[in-house]
Order: sequence, then structure tokens, then C-alpha cells
Amino acid sequence: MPRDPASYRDPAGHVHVIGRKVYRSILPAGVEQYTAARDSGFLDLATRNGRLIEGREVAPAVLGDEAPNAVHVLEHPRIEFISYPYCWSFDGLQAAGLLTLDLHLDALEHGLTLSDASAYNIQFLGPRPIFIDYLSLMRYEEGQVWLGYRQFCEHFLNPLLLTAKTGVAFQPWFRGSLEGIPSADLGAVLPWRAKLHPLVAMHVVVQGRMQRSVTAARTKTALKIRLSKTALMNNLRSMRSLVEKLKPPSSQRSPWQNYEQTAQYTHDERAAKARFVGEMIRACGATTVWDLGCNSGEYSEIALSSGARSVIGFEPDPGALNAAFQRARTKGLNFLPLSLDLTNPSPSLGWRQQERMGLAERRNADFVLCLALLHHLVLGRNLPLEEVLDWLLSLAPRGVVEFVPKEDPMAAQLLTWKAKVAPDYNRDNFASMLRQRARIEREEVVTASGRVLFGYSSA
Amino acid sequence: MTGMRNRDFAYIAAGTCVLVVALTPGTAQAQYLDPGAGSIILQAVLAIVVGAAAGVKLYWGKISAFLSRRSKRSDMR
Repeated sequence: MPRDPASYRDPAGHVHVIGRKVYRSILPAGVEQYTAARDSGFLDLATRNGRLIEGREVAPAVLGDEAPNAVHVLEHPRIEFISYPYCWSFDGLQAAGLLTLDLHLDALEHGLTLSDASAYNIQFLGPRPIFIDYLSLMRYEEGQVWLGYRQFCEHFLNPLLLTAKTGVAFQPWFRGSLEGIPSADLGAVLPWRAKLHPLVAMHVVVQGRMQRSVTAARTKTALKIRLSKTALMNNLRSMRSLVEKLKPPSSQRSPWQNYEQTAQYTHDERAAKARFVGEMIRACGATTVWDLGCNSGEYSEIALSSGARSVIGFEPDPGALNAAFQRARTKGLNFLPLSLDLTNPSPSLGWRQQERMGLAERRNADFVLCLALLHHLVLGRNLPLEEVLDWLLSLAPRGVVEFVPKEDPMAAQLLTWKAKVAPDYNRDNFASMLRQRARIEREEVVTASGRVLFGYSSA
Repeated sequence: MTGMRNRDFAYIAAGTCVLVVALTPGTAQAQYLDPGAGSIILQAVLAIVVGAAAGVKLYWGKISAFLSRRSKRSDMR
């Protein structure tokens, strides 16, 4: 893949992916802003404190015909897994928003400003957000307004407000509306109590109304607006304190969040499961693990302590997802939990359906964990067992899958209203289907209810 | 002390009185992102609100001290 298909907007430069290397071309239109940022010392400072991804200048010839006009070319470290805001947890989006504001405030101290406030300018290294778009930085001119204000509201503030104030998850809306949630739309669903907050009223209600109509007179007025640097920084700080105070609602404290405590495992059973997972990871020398239905990340953590370099977790429940994100952040784990319903994974989206990659295109794992999930897919969602196994094997060559029998209390609960579903769903059938696709390395009954762990390899 | 007060005042003045009308068009024109006319105007209003709030916060101690002094005095009467 040469030029990144998501990198078409900015005439100042593009991102190019060649093999495993990632380059950024700086075209003539971007030279002035890039050199201003570089010479101010800000790029060095922000990379040193981990807010900005590293970028090393290399000879422009490295891109050859890819970017014949490139004046400068930067080489960036490759980000292992690209994630998008519509898959981040509440805390993740909040952390990314705060980073955008902090970076902007720092930039202003160096005579620079941000030309936009796109959430797609942020990626995650484990639970740590990092800014990736060098060409969003430009020279600050006295009087300049916050150019990315509206975008910041749509990409960060409004989705967070939606979840914090209504309890509705922002991710499905964001996924359907890639440029975020417009203020007018949010205003239509926000409860009146939330609108009593003066800043919420301004950002959401007033801004929504002002965007409804565009008049020549208003454009003329807007072009005359000047903000002092102090006022601009005050606005950024005020937004920062508003965003920082938002919290996920209590309705997102779901049963899954405390699953570890409430799950049907005794102490010994949990220890056996943890041992099995750890030993399989170690035996396979797994480096990049996908934890499907990661819950609060208990087994992701075990995978990391057993030698895995990084774990990407997928979890549809917002409460469990936030718990997982907090676990990763407080323990400093290279673990990124993302919001995803595995039966409806994130597709290819945006311009030409190439701008934001679907999940299948982003496969990077050499090992998958599919623990306490199979019964949800087969019994809960009526997915054919064979298809689930094909899909599992398509994600990574090795893994651990937990078979949960119909007699298990959790599985029985799923079957309360649909006793006839999946007649072929039993341990022997499962084992023979798995054997047709992979080598079973290890098999162990881990609970009294008959849950079985299978470690497999198709490599 | 007076110098400190002047600096505070200058800070608040800079934060609040920002609606300076200039004759040249803004640099927003040069951007590839459309910031939205309404959103730009709103920023100036926000700067006033935020600046005023910061001012009130800064002087809140003095205001409350002044009020409590007054109420104490009226209690004594």
C-alpha cells in the first residue's frame, strides 16, 4: 500500500506506507508550517514527553515516484494496530481529547497552533494516546481563533456529553457519522438538566443554532473576529476542565464489569484457567494477542505477563470496557481494549470505503483468546459453530478457545427461550470440528460445570 | 501589591475584551478545514464568558471577605 488512503485531505503532505515503514511527505504547501514547528523546538519537546509520535527526517528520495514533489520526508515508527474513535472507550476518547487540548496549549507557548482537532489525529499505544499528525501544527498568528473548535466539539465533547448525560453509547453514532456528532443533533437529545450548565448550553445549544443557518453577514462578522492569545488559551483551558470532569454514567456500570467477581468460577478454577492461558502463550511464543470478549482484561493481563508484547481487546459492554481501559492505564499494560460487537465488526468506511479500515484488514495477531465467548456467539446469537471456528482460525493461527457446554448455568440462561438452537453444540462435536481445522495442542476441563479449554495451532 | 492588582487586571482585561474588529480578513480562509462561521463568533462570546468567570473566581475571595465583613458589621449593630 503506497499512499495511505486516509491521507488525502491535507494539501501540505501525505502519509505513505511502504512495506513495514511509514513515511510522511512534506509538500511545498507544507514546508513553511513544518519548518516553523521544527525550528521552534516544539516537535522535539512533544516527542520527548510522549505526546507526539517520533518523526525522523530522511532523504526525500526514499519515496521516489511516490512523492516526487516532497521537500522533506519523515519516517515514523509503525503503529501496530490502527484504532478509530468509534471503537474507543469513554475514557479513551476523553484521554484523546485532553491530549489534543494539552498539545494545543503547549504549541501556543511555542508560537504554534493546531489547524484542526480531529480525533483521527490520535492513535493509541496501549492505553496511551499519541498525536500523529505533524501537519496539523502551524505557525500561530496573533489574533487567530481556535480553528478546530467546532471539530473538537463534534469529535470529542459531543460524543462524551452524549454518553455522560444520556447514558447512550457514543460509539454506534460515531461509527455511522465519521465526522462526529453535530451540536444541533446532540441538542435535540440532551436532557434539559444537562443544558442548564452554561458551557454545555453554549457549546451545544447555541452552537447548534448558529450552525443551522449560514448567512453572508455572519460569515463577514466571523472573518473579523480576533482573539488574544490569552483568550484563546482561556477557551482551551475551559474546554479542558469541562471535558476532564465528564464521567461515564452509572447505567454503564453493568453486570459484566464485575464479571470476574460474579463469574461461575471457584478460586481453583480461575487459577487453572489462568495457568492454561499463560502456559499456552509462553509455549507458542505469542507476541501480539487479540482477546475476544476481553471483559475487564483479566486474561489480557495474564497474556502480557506470560510474554506477549501487546494485546488488543474487544468488548461490547461499555462498563467492562472502561474497567479494562482503567486496568491497562493504572498498571501500565500494553493493552488496548476497544468497543466492538464481534458479530458486527467495524467495516471499511469513509471516502471510497478506504479511509477507515475494517477490522479484517487490520488483523495483526499471532494468537487469539476466545474465553467464555463461544456460547454467546453460538447459543446467544445463533451463529453456526463451524463458521465461528472458521472465523476464529482466520484471525490468527494459534489460540485458546473455551468451550462452554449447554449444561453450564451461564449457557443454560441463554437457552431459556430457545431450547432447540444448535443441536450439534457439544464437546465432542466441537473437538472434532476444531481438529479438522487445527492441531489441538492441549485440552483441559477447567470447571465443575464442564467448561473445557482447547489450545490449538494451525501453523 | 498595587502592581499585582494591575497585572491581574491586565490579565482579565486581555481575557475578556477580545472582540477586536480588524479590517483584514482572518487567516481562517487559508485553512482546508471549515471552522464554521457560527462557531468562530461563539468563540469570542465564550472568551468573554470564560474570562468573566475567571475574573469572578480570582476576586471571589475578596468579594466574599468584603461581604462577610459587611454582614459582621450589621450583626454588631
